[in-house]
Amino acid sequence: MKDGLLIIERIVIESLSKKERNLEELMLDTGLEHSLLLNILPNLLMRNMLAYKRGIYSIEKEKCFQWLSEVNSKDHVKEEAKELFISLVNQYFKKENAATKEFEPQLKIQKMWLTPDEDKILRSHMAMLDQFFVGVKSSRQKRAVREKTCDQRVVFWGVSQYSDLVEGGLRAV
Amino acid sequence: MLDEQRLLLNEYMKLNNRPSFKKISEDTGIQTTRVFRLFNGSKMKLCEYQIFKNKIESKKISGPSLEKLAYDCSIKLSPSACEELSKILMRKLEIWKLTQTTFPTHATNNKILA
Repeated sequence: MKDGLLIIERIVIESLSKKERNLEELMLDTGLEHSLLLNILPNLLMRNMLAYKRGIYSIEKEKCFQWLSEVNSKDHVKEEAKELFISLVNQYFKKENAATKEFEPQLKIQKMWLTPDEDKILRSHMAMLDQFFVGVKSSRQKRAVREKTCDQRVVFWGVSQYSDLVEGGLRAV
Repeated sequence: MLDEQRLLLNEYMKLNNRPSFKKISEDTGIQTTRVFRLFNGSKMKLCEYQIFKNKIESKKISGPSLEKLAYDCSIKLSPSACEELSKILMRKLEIWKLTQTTFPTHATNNKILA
């Protein structure tokens, strides 16, 4: 991508931010095919995001502050979030292989009226979920689990008012 | 094989769940031996190209063509909506580019893996 990152580029960056790796290790950690990685890596090298030495790829630490703020800018994160969300929706509604998948994707959308008290309860549930993720992340930092980057779970959650979403849809034309 | 021909045949195969040469022959009306030769690098004739192209188009498009839709959007939608659509298309195209297997020469291959 011109300035932002595609999901397939982001996973490579995330994998290398944990540890420098050779091509084989990157394949195992990201779950991406050899040929695809051979197309992604030169792109990231040319953008000065990665360094390459004797078969080992690593994050270009000296220049990372230049591109990190750019790829994490609001506009680019918005596009990445859309790409992830579209991918989840497509995966959820995909008919074939539904039963054969090891990990079933889940997607729930609910519309309901909430009283002010119920709204508070919902917010507190969401805050608890948030806390749970913060806890999991900090425990991973203390005791690193050697899991693949591609095996991470991606969770979305959010709430908005129906009228705002409808208005947003109208404004988008 | 010409790049364009390879892309066309790959697309046909993908859209039709990788049919056998016999099935392709039945679908396109091109002789099986000729289909085999086309998939093995023999240059396509214009009429054969058009047959595959039409088969792909008819399989792909159930509504209006992408070109017509894009034109309608560009003249009817707001600049921000057009920008949103072009961003989605650009990202899809970028992913497509990256998924295209390049066949590096021995020298470039060594350069990457060295």
